Amino acid sequence: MAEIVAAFGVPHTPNFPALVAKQGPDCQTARLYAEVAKHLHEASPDVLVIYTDDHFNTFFLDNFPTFAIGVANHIAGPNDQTAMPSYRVAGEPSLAGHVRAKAIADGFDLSLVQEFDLDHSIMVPLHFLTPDMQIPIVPLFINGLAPPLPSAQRCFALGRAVGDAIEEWPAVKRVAVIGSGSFSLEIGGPRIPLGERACTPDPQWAECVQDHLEHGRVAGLVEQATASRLARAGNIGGELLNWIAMLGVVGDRKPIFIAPEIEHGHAYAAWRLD
Amino acid sequence: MSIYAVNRLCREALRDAAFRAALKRDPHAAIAPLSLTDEERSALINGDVAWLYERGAHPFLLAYLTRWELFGLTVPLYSERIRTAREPDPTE
Repeated sequence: MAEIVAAFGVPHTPNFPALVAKQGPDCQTARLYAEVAKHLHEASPDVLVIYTDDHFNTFFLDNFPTFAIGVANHIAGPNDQTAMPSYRVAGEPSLAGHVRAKAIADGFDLSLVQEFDLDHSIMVPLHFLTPDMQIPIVPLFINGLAPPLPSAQRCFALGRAVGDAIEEWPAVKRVAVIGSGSFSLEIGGPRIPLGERACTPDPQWAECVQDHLEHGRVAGLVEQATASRLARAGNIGGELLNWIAMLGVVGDRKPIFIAPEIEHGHAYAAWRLD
Repeated sequence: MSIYAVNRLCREALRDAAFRAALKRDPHAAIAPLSLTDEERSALINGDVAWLYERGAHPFLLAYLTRWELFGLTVPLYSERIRTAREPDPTE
């Protein structure tokens, strides 16, 4: 049977690859991703299950799933003109198909996606964590951007069901789970300051999320992450749902590493689960 | 629900360099074939992002317009206008 060995949370800010290319490996962004990458490689996973929110690139509003899973042999990206290298990464269709069947049996109706590419929300984390693209991935998409969003309770329960399914996968493999996104972020909405495209409208919420994560208070986080609370955190605040789904395999365990960047409304974190 | 066409226009501006160039060159002509109401058409031409936001245009997509200053939308002008917008009705 497969084993869930670790979980990670990271931002996926699209200008980070260009920023690090310019500022070098000693800049804060590079160092924080490197710290998460170190923990990831220590856990030596065979597969990465990644929760993310598509930004109208893999899907569009003509056909926008609340929950979807990518079942494919190979996946390329980024598909949204993010300034970074183009990559091709292996999928893990055996695990993805297994998770899909188990999740649906468990009441989580995951849409099936088989021919697709990915935007910055997965490719930016992979660029920093596994730049050789040698670890296959299973992408799980959660609608974090187009309200109404799924509830935090629903996403946490999905994360638990996916965790159970991973552990029932009859392959002797080590699996890590990743959640990617911001806790507070507004892009192009009414709260941006004059002369800016984006901002962190709710650093207090980012701090509150960080505090819950640091102390392993997942139930408190899920309870507080209501639709109105996420909306106050910014029009991209729903990305927290990716973290909450990832926490489905973490439960109330404390991270072995966590570094907040409150002013940017996000954090970097790692949990060991084996 | 033709605000969908506004959202789609923003994404096509990102993806389709020829469409983007056409929007830059002659915005009236570029949006003429699109399925838009007269009000949506004039809001786009006037760069009235607050009006579009209030009717359900997604801000992540609208903000693409500033990358190429389409419809005259520089970042300062976009931010000045969007800050006046009310929240859209989520039931629409």
